[in-house]
Amino acid sequence: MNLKLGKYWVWFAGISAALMLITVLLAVYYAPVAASSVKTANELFPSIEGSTITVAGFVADREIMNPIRYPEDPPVTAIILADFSDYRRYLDAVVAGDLEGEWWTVEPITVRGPYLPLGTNVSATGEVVATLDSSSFMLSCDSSDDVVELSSPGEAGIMTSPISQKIFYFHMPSAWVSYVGFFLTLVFGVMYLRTRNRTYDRVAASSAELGVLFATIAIVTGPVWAKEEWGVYWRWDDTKLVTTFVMWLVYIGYLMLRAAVVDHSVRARISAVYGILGFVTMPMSLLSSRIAPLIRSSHPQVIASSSGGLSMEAGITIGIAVVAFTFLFITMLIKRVEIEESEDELEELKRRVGGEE
Amino acid sequence: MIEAKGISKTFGRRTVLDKVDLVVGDGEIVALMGPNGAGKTTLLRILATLLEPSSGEVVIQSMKVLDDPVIARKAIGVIGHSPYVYDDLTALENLSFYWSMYGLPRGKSEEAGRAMLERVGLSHRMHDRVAVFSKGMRQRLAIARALLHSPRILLLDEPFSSLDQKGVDLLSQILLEEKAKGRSILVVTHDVQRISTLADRADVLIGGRVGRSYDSRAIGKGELDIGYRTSIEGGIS
Amino acid sequence: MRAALTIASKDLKTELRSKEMISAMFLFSLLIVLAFRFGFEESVSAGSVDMPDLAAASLWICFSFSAIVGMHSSFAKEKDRETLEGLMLCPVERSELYLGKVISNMVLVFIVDVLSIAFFALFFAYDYGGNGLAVVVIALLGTVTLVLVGTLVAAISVNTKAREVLLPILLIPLIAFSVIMPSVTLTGDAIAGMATESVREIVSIAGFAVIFGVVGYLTADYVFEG
Repeated sequence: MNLKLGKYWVWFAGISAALMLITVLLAVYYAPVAASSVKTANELFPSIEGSTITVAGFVADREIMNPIRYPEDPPVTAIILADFSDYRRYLDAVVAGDLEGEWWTVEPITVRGPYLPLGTNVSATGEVVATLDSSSFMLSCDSSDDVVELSSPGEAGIMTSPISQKIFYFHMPSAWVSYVGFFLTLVFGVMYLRTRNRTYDRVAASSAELGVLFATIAIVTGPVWAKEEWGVYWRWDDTKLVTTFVMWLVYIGYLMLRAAVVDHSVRARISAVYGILGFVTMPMSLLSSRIAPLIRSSHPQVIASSSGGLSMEAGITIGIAVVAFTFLFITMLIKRVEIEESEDELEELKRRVGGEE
Repeated sequence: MIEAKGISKTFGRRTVLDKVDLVVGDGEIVALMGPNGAGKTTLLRILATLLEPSSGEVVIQSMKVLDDPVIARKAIGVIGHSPYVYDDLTALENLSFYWSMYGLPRGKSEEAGRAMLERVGLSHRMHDRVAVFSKGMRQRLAIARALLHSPRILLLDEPFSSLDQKGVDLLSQILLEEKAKGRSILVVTHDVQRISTLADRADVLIGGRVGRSYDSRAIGKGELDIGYRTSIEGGIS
Repeated sequence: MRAALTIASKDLKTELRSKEMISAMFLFSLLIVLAFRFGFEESVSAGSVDMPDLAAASLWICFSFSAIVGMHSSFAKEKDRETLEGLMLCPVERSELYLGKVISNMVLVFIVDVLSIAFFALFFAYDYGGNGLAVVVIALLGTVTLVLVGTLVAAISVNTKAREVLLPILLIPLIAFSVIMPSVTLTGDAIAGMATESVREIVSIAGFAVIFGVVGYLTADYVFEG
């Protein structure tokens, strides 16, 4: 299988490079979230400029530092604050008790999304319609309506700032490709056990190695993104983050296991079994953000979600990025397997020169 | 009868066995000889189902071993490099354990174990833990363990090592008894003298191939002794 | 099944005589409880620590690590004394070998679990307040899952050079979500007297027991070879 594909590696590399370039161009020119597009409340609502009534917030009796909410959390009381320029500053203000202006307490909010800024609609008596996203609190106001509405734009929670947007085009494809790598480790491990063809073992080992590499990229870029979107680098209560991290550990273990066995057939056999076992953690990691009500997660659901999905522009860009990374992965896999083969050959030659035969 | 048909075994690119053919008929004792690293133990392990061949097949009584290794193992008794017995169990308990593992009828294990220990001359020590046994006594216990389930095929790897003269004689006698029962016996050994009196045939394995085969007549004439020496020298150079 | 039981009873009989594994496991878990006692000395004395949480966490660290010690030596012993090969010569399915080891490991690990629970109470002068039985039952449930996966991984790691180090490295990531996390939650809830609310955790642990059991059963042929 591999020998046939091997001839075309230059093509794969070329396609990958071209698509990467397209991704970068699209990210910059086609689907950017420009800083200028995030309007301040004052721009949006000139009518209330300078007034004391501004942005909607939340958190009445629960911990304040954590703006992300889970569906099973009890309803909170919305608070309307004076200073709205940035929610992190707003939180600081709350923590410091340094509040100015008037507090408006409205009816309890029913939270539907995994966390408040994501698709939250709030109805309450008042004179404000507020739109909320997580990178900056915005307030949309329709003073003629007696409804307070907290809702987020479509992209809220995924890429609301320019930095997080650009990172996301690398973060998400890396994570995807690492899952592919780990899956291939399982598939080729099983194929090795069935056929005892050594090439399958080489592919399994190589794809585990690349999986770890790309998972590392995902794990490093993830916190940068999270800091922008969530205000924190890491969340130990987010199942997806933690499972991905643990999965990364599993496959580092897989590589250590391989390094600790001398005999190649024993190595191939037992690491294939461990690859199967390790994959048990995979569906959990992938599913964890889809089954949020069952297992806690505030991770964005990129695929097929209604509230947290991507805009069309971002969707196209991310799609191309995923294809680019997949081709990159295939190219690297082909080369890695070839290196493995050469290493074995070298070992064999060394042995012959050593005169063991 | 056990038959190896075109057995090859490669570890990586290193070929240890290269299309080895070997037959041990019913009531036959075959010696498998050869220099160190010739693949004797590997072949024995393949025959004992501990290792799968890279190609070729092992046939026991017209049944392919790989089709159902579990059934095949019932027909095989092995004496390996190690006696495969537990230090913390007594001699009799060890035999009872293997009795049960071989799926033999419950309730008879004690009786069969005693009889077997009697046969290998260990009955006076049957309630002693194996931990206090000498190497030779362990080897005797290993013989008892290998014969416990009356296997039709016996595969012995250097069975005479660590036995005293009495033990060697005992084992020779047991092998002849088993041969008389129609068992197929394969003995890996370097002990040309000992095997000359026992074996019906001797196959010499060199560089993963059966180099030469000596029948009982040739062995009787001492050809094995000379031939084996030259083949070992040939194998090393 | 007969072979599995034979192996398990052989393991327990030899263990009863040598007490090699159980004494190591027991001492290990004793030391862990002791370490927690010293580590939390100030807050325990001051009463500022959440005892159900501390108990749940430290007990499961005891359970997991002493189980790792035990499961490792259950294979290392057979491998070093070459009796593993003797077992492989027996006309039994490899899955029976796995199952037999699972049973004997389960018994030993569970005994140590119960001792650890008692020692925790003793060292921390802590009263489980009538929920001790629930803690023991949860320990049993978690131990089943832990041993099902641990025995398989121990059978894998025993083939390697650095096997003592490798077993925890390979095993802990696998049990983090399947055993430790839900069991700690469950134990904490049980001590606080609300275990009935944690159906999700029970289902999750039991589900993983099934997954690990099936994987172990199906891959035993490949793990125990040559």
